[in-house]
Amino acid sequence: METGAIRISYFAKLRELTGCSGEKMEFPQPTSVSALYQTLQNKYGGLLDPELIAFCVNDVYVSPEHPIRSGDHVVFIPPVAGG
Amino acid sequence: MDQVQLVRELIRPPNLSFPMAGAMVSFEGRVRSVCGGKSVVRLKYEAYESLAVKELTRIVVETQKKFPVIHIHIQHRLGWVEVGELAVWVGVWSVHRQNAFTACAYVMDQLKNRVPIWKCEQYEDGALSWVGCDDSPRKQHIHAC
Repeated sequence: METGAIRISYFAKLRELTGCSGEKMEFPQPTSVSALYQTLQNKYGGLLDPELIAFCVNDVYVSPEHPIRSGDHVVFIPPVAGG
Repeated sequence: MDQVQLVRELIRPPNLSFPMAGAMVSFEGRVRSVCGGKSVVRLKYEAYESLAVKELTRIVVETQKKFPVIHIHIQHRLGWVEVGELAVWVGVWSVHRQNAFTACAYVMDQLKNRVPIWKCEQYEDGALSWVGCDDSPRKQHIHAC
């Protein structure tokens, strides 16, 4: 794992809870995508239960343990409801 | 015409025909006026568009591998959609009807399970609610794939 700058996008309920559609973030320690979500839960005071969230990096669904790399675009996917 | 489309205007199902297709099955998903006992006046669909198009395209490719179908077309609305309007349209063309029925159902099941599109309901009193987020939580089925 490495450290560096990443881009995060928020959609739907997460956009409302964070109050923004996205942000850039430096991560000083190597981290996984689920650990990053936990960091953001602390920052924003809750967000959605991680059990409800799917993780997406660079337009691909990934596992919660997926390591974040510098330059990644991370999206946390709330429960989907198309159709 | 793209096989997968996210549209902000009324869905207009394509008028396609294929000489080998003896069957064409379509599914229309419409906005209904009641959900969970609440009166819904309209919905807002939001998508992570780049991934939604990729996932819908993957679903088309997967479905064509699983079932011997000739063509698949999917349109999904984005933005505000009124009660009675089409929210989604799926059409499947095949040689015989059974494969078209089965493939059409498969496309819809996959779409509802994994395509990053979200639905916000607006009720008679003006309140808004993100389906699956604001009501009783349900476990997501999306996993790394």
